[in-house]
Amino acid sequence: MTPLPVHPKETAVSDFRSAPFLRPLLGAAIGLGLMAANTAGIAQTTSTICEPDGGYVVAYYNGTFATPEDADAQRAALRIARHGKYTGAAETATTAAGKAEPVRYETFYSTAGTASGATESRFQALAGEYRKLLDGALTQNWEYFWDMASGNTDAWSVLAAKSADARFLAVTSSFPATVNSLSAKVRTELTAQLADGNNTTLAARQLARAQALYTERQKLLMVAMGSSQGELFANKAFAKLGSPTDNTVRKEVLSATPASSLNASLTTTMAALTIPNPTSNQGFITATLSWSVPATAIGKLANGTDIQNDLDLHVIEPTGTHVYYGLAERNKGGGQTAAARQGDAGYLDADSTTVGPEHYYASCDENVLKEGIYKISVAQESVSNPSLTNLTLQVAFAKSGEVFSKTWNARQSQFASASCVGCTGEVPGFTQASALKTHVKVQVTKLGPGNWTAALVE
Amino acid sequence: MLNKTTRLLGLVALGVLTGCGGGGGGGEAAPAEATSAVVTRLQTNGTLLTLDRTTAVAGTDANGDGVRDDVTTWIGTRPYAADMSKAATQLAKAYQSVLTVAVTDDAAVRAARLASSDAVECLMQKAPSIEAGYKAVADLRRVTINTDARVKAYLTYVEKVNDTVARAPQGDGCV
Repeated sequence: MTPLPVHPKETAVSDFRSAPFLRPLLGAAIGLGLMAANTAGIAQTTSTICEPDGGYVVAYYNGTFATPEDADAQRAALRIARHGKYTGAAETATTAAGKAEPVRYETFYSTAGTASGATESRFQALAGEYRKLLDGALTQNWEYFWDMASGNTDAWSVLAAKSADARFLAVTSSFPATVNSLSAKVRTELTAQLADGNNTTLAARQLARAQALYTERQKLLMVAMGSSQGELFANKAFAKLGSPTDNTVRKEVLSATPASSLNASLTTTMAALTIPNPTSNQGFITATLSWSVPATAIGKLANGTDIQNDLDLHVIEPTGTHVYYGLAERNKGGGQTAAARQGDAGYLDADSTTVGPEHYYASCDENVLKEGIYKISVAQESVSNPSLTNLTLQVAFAKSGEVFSKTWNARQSQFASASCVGCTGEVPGFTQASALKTHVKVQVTKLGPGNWTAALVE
Repeated sequence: MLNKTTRLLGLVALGVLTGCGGGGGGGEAAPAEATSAVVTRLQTNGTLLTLDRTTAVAGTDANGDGVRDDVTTWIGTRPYAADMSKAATQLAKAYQSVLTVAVTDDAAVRAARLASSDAVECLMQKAPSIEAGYKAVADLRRVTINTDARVKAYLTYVEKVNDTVARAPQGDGCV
């Protein structure tokens, strides 16, 4: 039950740290811009409709062959271990400065995935092994599959003993050995896949979520089951965030499923966390566009210019204002700053043409946020290697977390043409606002002072 | 006497082992009981749970409450307190929903995923201990997703929700 030491810090540079709005050299300018834009709702507000101090998020990464319900149960166990049973009051953790802040728990669920070239998932392959046991005699008795897939042979041992049949007794050890063997294989194969710079699909949506939380000033504690794909994906997310050494993100790896004994370590670790990216913001609605490009599509061309991977986030606000990169051009004198990309109700934080991400934040300031429909779209301008580039649009609400997440392949989402047979046209290039494909619509409603709601609508 | 008895038992055991080995030599080997027959025997003698094992994914839900009837019966046999029994029923309903959700409908899959997340949270909160909560979640899965067709449907759903994020409810998740 004791958490293993936090992994050694890594040195990779995260994507968004290279985005213009976070470059250290621009820090002072951005700071001034944020101050100037304060009344327009860019800087943090004291509104109660968001959580202006950020708060904590505990992200749980599950083990191999865990089902979604297993993962959620383990997430719940972390919550109970830290706070005890829910009593009706919002759970909080106390910062080093002695301030109580809200704590949220999220399941970052992943399966063992599908092996390259396979027609079924690794979980389905494990089920296939069970299906073959005892000449197929168990195909209408899957109770024991779930037990043994999670490492529990108690019930099967009782059944095997009652069968008084050596073949049944042998399964008590043979099937758990199969589970262990496949688990080890999963880890080996996924490790290789993650090391492949051209693999841009693994855990894309989880990475987008981790990035969004970080830029929303959430103090992020990643907890992963050891020796699993969950640990690998937590490692990848940690690296994607720049492997921070300033306690803005911590990562812990468990050797056993969460239990009450984790209380002390969770309390200590959370108290050590500090607010990330004080110049970033959070939104009543946050739309995040992120993209993964192959390693060969990152860097500079021979002429010294950046390799272009230009994808764009567009939001049409209830007032009709179209917030996108072009807004900065219309807002003459603003340059490519967040202030220049300010709409009536929120703003776009960046126009990345390399590795993303871009965020739209609807204001947490009640005086700025607008009621009505927010239409959220993505478009692609130019992508160096579209077949190996995947883009993810994610939408989150301040109070309820992620509400939408979808990933497209840049190539397959272009308009169908003679050279792009079967392409869907879901993420076309941008021509004009009326031609945008709306991917998400959010209805924002004010119920009363300090009481706003957001909901996805068709 | 003791030595003779021991030797006799040893010979008997040798004969049994030879028979179990499927024959060999010139003797007539006793045919091994088919594994399916063993399962039938275990079902008949009550070792295996009595559950709906029909081929349909949904199974029988005569009262239309969203929970398979045999699962409702099974929950009734558990030594759960009233609020835990209610939470178990909520999770059973969520399991049934993920089995029957149209996996091509992204919104429906997300709704099913969040409903099961809330139901799991509820059950964990109502269980007397974390360990009891884990067991209840696992036990409900083993009785609900108990046939080949149900496992196939469930694992299709599981792959559909690969690489997703579900936030715990702000309350206890109980409905």
